[in-house]
Amino acid sequence: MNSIEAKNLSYSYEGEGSRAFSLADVNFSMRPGECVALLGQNGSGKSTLAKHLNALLPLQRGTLHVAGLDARDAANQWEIRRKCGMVFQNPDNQFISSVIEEDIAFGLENYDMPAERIPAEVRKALALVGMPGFEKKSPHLLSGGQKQRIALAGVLALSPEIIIFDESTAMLDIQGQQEILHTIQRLHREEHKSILLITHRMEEAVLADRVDVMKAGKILASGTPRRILTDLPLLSAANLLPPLPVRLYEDLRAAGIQLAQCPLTIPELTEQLCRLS
Amino acid sequence: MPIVVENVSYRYAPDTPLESAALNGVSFTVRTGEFIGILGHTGCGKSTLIQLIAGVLTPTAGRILLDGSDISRPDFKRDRLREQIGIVFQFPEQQLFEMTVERDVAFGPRQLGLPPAKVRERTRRAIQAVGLDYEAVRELSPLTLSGGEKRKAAIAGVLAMEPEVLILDEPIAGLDPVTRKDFMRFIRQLHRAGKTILMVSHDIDELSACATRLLVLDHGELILDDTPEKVFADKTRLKTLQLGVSQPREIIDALREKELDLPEGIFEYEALLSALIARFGGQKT
Repeated sequence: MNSIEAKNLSYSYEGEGSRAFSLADVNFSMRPGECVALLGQNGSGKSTLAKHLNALLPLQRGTLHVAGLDARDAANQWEIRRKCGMVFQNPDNQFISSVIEEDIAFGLENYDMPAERIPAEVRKALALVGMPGFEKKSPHLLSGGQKQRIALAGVLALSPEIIIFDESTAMLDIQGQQEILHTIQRLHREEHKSILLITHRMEEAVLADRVDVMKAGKILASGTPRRILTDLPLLSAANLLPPLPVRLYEDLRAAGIQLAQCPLTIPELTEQLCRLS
Repeated sequence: MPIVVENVSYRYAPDTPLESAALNGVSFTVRTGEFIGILGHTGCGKSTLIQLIAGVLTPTAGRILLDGSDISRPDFKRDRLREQIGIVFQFPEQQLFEMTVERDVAFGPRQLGLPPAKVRERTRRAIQAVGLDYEAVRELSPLTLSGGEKRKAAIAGVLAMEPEVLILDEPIAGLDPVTRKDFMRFIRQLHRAGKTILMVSHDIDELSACATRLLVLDHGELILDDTPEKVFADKTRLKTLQLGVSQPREIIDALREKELDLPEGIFEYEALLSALIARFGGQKT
């Protein structure tokens, strides 16, 4: 059974002054343990899709199953949010408490976990994000990367199957970005979580098992990072830019310098260039 | 319009148990027409510094002089300040409030008492400058836009004021790559047209390519103030500060480490491409 199974999903933000469709007949699925990067320009529908998976938006048209639960059934709403957690972009507005352990415990309390079991779960969640011992600290005194990891710990405490990162590294400094990326990779490899990575950073998309590209509320293409990120006409149609090594490969080729294979990452690129000399 | 930052310190919540020092004795001068990039870790005082310069916060010690006048003095004419200094905060989309995108962007210029035709013209120009389709979005409620589009609309509201000095706090974070490029191209145009730009960013690639001067803050102190060339030349310092290097620089450094004979001190894409063509062009591949 797939972690996510969306068929013919359409959504339109209602009311005056809104546009026709934000999602138009989207088919989208994720296998258990899969890491999918979702790319697309601003307004292409990435967050609208993500908000469906987290039951933040009600179904208008189509069907959606999250961790086997039918999203059409309002009774499943809370269980869907528990199975599919989400970390947002702004590190500063995801906290409800001024003490970290209370913040992480918030979700557990809402799901009626017995009070005596909560401290152990909080400890476990903090260990998973590499921040053991932060129970009594205050979230607003942390760095951006640490704040995002605490937000993630709040999600992890509920033992979700699927975690959505909606541009969770966009506001972070380089160190913070790396902290989050390492944590994501560990959750993917060691905890076998299904991960949906919404991002504008190509160097993050490279790490996924699969890359999906959205445009104007539709999934334009889906494939391995290598296939998608080296397909310049496709990227251009989606109004995206290739990763820097791919751009360099193309520009070098135009100047008569041909590398054996198109590199996706900087280590691949340097290796190819070394072979030239 | 030079801005002199003179021994400025700022403490949040002074004389309370929560007191914390955000800036300590920072001094520098912004000359007209500069493009200054401000770098440093989360929590190093970048946002505090630019809010002080914009007159949103008042220094707890030291002064900020705009064209020679102290902006925190009660007799300073603050009503024209936003025509002189515009500031785009982090998450500017949280400030959207009007019924339509056009009205929201036009709010500032309308307050200036400009004639309607002029307001419309500025509004259109600002909306196009941030890469939104003016005709498609003008009648939409800003709240129905996507996250990235909201940010663009909010930035347009500041651009429409056409300030002499434009201060931007992480303006391109969260924008898609094409919009980023277009937006930075637009900011460079403003700079070429004589505007002064101060931009806080974690994006070393963009700052390397655009800024004429970089300020690096660490724990509330100004620790580096120099051209990008000089700042990026100090590799060990950059490493301890963990600010990262631009991707072109990372590539050049990796190649030099493998003893490929390439020039040092390259940190932007065009220079990298030329160096690689010079090194590998003409040889048999």
